[in-house]
Amino acid sequence: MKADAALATTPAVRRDSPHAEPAAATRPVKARVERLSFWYGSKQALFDITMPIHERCVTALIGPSGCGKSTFLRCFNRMHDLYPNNRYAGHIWLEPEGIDIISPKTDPMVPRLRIGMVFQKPNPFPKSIYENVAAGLRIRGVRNRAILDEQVEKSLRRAALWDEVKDRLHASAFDLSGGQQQRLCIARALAPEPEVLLLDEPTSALDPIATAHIEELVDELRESYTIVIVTHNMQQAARVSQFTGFFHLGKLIEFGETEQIFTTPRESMTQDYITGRFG
Amino acid sequence: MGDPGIRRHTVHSFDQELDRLTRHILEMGALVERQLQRAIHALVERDAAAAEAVIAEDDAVDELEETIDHEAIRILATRQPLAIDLRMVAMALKISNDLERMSDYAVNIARRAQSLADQPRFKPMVTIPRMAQVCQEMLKQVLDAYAARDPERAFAAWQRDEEVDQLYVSLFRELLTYIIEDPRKTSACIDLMFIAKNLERIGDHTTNIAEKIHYIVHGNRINRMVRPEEGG
Repeated sequence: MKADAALATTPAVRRDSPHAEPAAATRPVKARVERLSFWYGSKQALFDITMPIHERCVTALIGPSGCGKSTFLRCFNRMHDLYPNNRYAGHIWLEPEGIDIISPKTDPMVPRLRIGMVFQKPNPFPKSIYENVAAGLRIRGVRNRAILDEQVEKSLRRAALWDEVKDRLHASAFDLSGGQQQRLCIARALAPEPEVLLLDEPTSALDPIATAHIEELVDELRESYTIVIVTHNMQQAARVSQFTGFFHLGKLIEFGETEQIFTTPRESMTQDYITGRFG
Repeated sequence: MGDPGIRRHTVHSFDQELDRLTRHILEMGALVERQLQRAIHALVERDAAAAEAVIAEDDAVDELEETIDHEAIRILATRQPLAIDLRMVAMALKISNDLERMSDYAVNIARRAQSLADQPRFKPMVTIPRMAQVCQEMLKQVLDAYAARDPERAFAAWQRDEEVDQLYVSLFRELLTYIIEDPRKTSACIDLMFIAKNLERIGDHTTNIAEKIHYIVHGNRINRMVRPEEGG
């Protein structure tokens, strides 16, 4: 179910391998952000960010509102391309091929087909539960009913929603509760089997039980996916992630293993933020 | 009080809760300081009332430990502290445990002092008061360091434990010689040996507290190799 066709469209592949050194210990890396800056028109929103996204790990992005977390996340699937005058600088290398996601030479469909995204508010399509999950596959040209059925069930199971909806797959997605809708959105993102899953505050609109379901899910998903999650909930970041980046005013202030960030942060600004001494 | 050098929380009541926790630790420490001082006084001056007072004060120390447990658990549940706050709360639990043990040792010393009061004195009391004095100074230093969140002062106290250990070893040898020379002194010597052992343990718990102060501030352990006698 990989986007092989899309890959053939001359992506910008780097020739040399500037990151080949075994940095960041021994963990394999799924993406490398290198000196990334971003501008909304003339306003610079991200400043010279360099950090690894480790494969099959959860990387949490934390920081106060407006610090650039979501802007950063949206660079990964070129969502900023939807508006004119937005500008990127630097690189986001998607491994193992070393495709520069934000290069103008890279077709934005390449990262979009390989990277799934889930937003803060559940945003199911005004369609049935089944069609929501099948949507990504249909776009990729899958028409075989058996494959669709199989993939829909598999994705709903992975998103821990199957048992709750299996008897009403053709009911409207809007009939589901908020927590169920969010898990449906996760199932929809999982169906095309993305390599990277971007979660932008996926539980901020959910009650504690639905939140627990999603956290449990994230924990299971990292067996097979690389996950980047933006969250305002410190404890959630501490619970679900292995790596954490702290953003402030568009800069990456500190990046490290989650346990280190939450027990002994190196930067006083990180400490002030995570302990509630900000502003 | 509070956390010198650290910014205040956006939520003031969180600061107040942490301050209260710190205050209770210091209160507990002050009680233990007094117990230790009185226990040694009871021993040297054969003061039965002082010994009784030390034993009676143990309940107050235990009560404070329970209060601290309760407050720390409540903060963990309601504030979910992180980083330095988390270290502060977690270490408050451990430090109160150290202090509670020290209080028990002071009570043991007071009991031995009562037993020794009925026996004839056969040697001048020198080494034990000296040990006790070092322990008291260390404890005072460590409590000041805790109040000020000052790892340097804590480290200074930490280094003095070696002195207590050396005094303990020399006293042990001395008492052994007394026993060999005159077995009738065995009972008194054993009492004195237990007292010295209790002081040595008090010294150890004081260094534990010093290590926890270092951990609160720095998030890592004191490098044990720094102690010249151990590492060079």
